[in-house]
Amino acid sequence: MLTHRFWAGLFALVPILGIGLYVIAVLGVGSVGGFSFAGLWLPENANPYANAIDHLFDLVHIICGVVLGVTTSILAYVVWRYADHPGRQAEPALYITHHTLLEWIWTAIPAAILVFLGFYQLQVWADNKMNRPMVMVEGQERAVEPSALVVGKQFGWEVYYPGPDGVLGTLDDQRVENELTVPVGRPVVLRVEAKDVLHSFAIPGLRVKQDVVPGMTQLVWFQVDRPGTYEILCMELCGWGHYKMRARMKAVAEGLEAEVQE
Amino acid sequence: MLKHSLVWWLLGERCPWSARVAVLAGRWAVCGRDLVCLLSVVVAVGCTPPAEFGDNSLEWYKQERAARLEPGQGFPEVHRQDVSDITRVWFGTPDAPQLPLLEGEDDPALELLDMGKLAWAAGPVVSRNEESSQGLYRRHCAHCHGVTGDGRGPTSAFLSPYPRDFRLGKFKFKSSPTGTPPTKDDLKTILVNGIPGTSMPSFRLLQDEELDVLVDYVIYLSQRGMVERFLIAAVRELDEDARLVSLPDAARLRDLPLDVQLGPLQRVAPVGGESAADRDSAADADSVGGSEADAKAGADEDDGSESDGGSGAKADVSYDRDKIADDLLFLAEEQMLPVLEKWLGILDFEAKEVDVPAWVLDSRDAAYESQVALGQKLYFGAANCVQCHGETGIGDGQTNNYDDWTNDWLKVEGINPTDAAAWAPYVNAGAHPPRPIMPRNLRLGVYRGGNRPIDIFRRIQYGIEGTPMPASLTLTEEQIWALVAYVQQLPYETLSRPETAKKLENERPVR
Ligand SMILES: [Cu+2]
Repeated sequence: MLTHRFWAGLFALVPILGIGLYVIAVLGVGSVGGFSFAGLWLPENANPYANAIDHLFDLVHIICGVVLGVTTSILAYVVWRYADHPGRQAEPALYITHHTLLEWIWTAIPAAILVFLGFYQLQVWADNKMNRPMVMVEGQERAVEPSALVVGKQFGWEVYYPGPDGVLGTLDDQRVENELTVPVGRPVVLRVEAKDVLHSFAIPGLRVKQDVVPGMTQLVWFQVDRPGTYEILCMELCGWGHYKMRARMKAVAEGLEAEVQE
Repeated sequence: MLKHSLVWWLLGERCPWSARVAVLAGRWAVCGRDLVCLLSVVVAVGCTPPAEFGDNSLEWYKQERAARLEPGQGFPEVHRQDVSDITRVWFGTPDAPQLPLLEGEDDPALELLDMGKLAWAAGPVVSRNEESSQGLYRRHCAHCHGVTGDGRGPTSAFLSPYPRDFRLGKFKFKSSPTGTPPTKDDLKTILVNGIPGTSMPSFRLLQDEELDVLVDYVIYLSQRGMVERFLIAAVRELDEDARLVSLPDAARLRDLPLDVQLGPLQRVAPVGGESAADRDSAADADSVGGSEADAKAGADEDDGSESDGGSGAKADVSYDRDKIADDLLFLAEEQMLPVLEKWLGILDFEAKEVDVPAWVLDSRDAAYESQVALGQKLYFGAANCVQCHGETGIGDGQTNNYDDWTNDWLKVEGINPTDAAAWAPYVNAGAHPPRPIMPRNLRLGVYRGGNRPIDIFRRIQYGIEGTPMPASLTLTEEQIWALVAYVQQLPYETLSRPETAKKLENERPVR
């Protein structure tokens, strides 16, 4: 017969595994049977605009982690404490329909956390989605213009650079499939669109993620501080070939950019 | 222990992992022996047989109709078996590709295709090393283009246009003239860039070497498909009761010793790769001439096909070695060499260098206006682009044409494409339901062969093989560039941000 210890242990596995796996992924060290724990977590952020996003991400995880740990531990304890122990008869279960104080507590605490997060992240949202980066042009502050157009389609990413006329969105645009080249060390603005269905333009290494909607033009911006190759993914299930929507972003030192595009 | 080894021996070749699991499970189980037997049955049933290339059933059906056989009647089954056996001996299987080599290791086919690359592309998907996997074709291509390269993979029916059927040996976007195969660079460009406006995605993220591997394999599949089609067509030309190879009754070529099957051809062991496929074909290659090895090769074949009648039937076959060798040599020279020679042409082919005139995309250039005007005149006049691409260039001209892959049976057999009952038997035989080919809308900026001026130049100059877009035999290069300039200055309306068509200044009044 399975005892109360077994069932309580089973419930206790939820906080232990839930938090344990999280810690293993974040630390990223060690391996089991050839499966390495490195690289389970997000790649290191290379986008200064997104440091605040990482901070929010960690904060939300910590809040959720604490709630998960506390609630599931209580559940495991209750299973252990109030089950039929050998030599001790459990008290009969009570059927409670209302408990006003309890309901107040479990409504008010999450609400307070949500409202706090809502206000706390406002500036981050504004910096990443509303206030386009500015540059000084001829003594005047101007919003950075998009340097490339990225169009999601089933199944791949078309990247357009302005052609000889220097204007994006005209017939002489240079098209490259599945490869985007950007300069390092200065703000980059991209125009993102979709051709057919919903896609989501995401660069995990820069914490950039923007759903793209057919018929809508949106802007994303970031700055890459580390030269190298980054992965572009589609993060909205868009059809049978969704998994094929991987592309490459090359961040190159200033000046090399034009060469690479050729 | 004996029983464990038996299971291992029975299953190890085909499904090493299942056998391992079965043996382990047997060891752990309390009632070991019975469980091992039970599990081995379950595992054996669940194992997939080795992959085989499918017959070109559409071509068979087409040739049967062309031979004016009674409805519902086909060629005798031995012919299908012969063609299937010959293509299998010459080209191997999807797991163990081979090339028909008349000159052994000096054969020019080996200059064109690399056996190591074919072995890398072929076979089931298993990891090769940290960076790449074995079986690249089945991993990346087969679900649309099919294991046989017939453009009939599981996803193909949902795509428009349909995926390419490589077996006709025709490719659309290339730097070589109509009627010649594409160069390896052309095929690789398609892999890197995909084909805009179609479901062919870009494979830019693959390693350069992997792209080369896939290019070789596509050429291999195309060659195999072309040769198979020629062999099927040759069946129609046969006298009554004659066979492609002189064998008595229903005897099959694949039941004979491998050196007889190969006739005058030779096999070269593939290099590189460590898949099971390689081991199989290496064993086959060793077995040429050796009687003991022959028996082994024969036994291998039997594993995959229960309908052969087993090894007993084989011994009864009396055959004339020299006659078979003669037949196979004749077939190789008539049906295989022309295909090989056509493809070998790409080794020496060099695309003609073309200079892009400066004015093509530069509206500030002095020559621009007059060139666009010339282009417009040609569009509506001598070049007659207007017939299909329409007055406004949106591709609303003649829209009831079909491409060569469809016309190969539709037009050849004089079938009315709107009569579903007429083409249904062909669809049953393996064709996709016919769809008219649409002339390109020239105002979207989406050109399947690429949107650089040189790409558009090539399309006008050489046409698009397999489609109604003809090569321009009479236009000068100057005139083609004028057309490129005219086409490029048409109003631009991308799909993602459509605008209502602007009235063209130079548009002719619509009657
Ligand atoms: Cu997508």
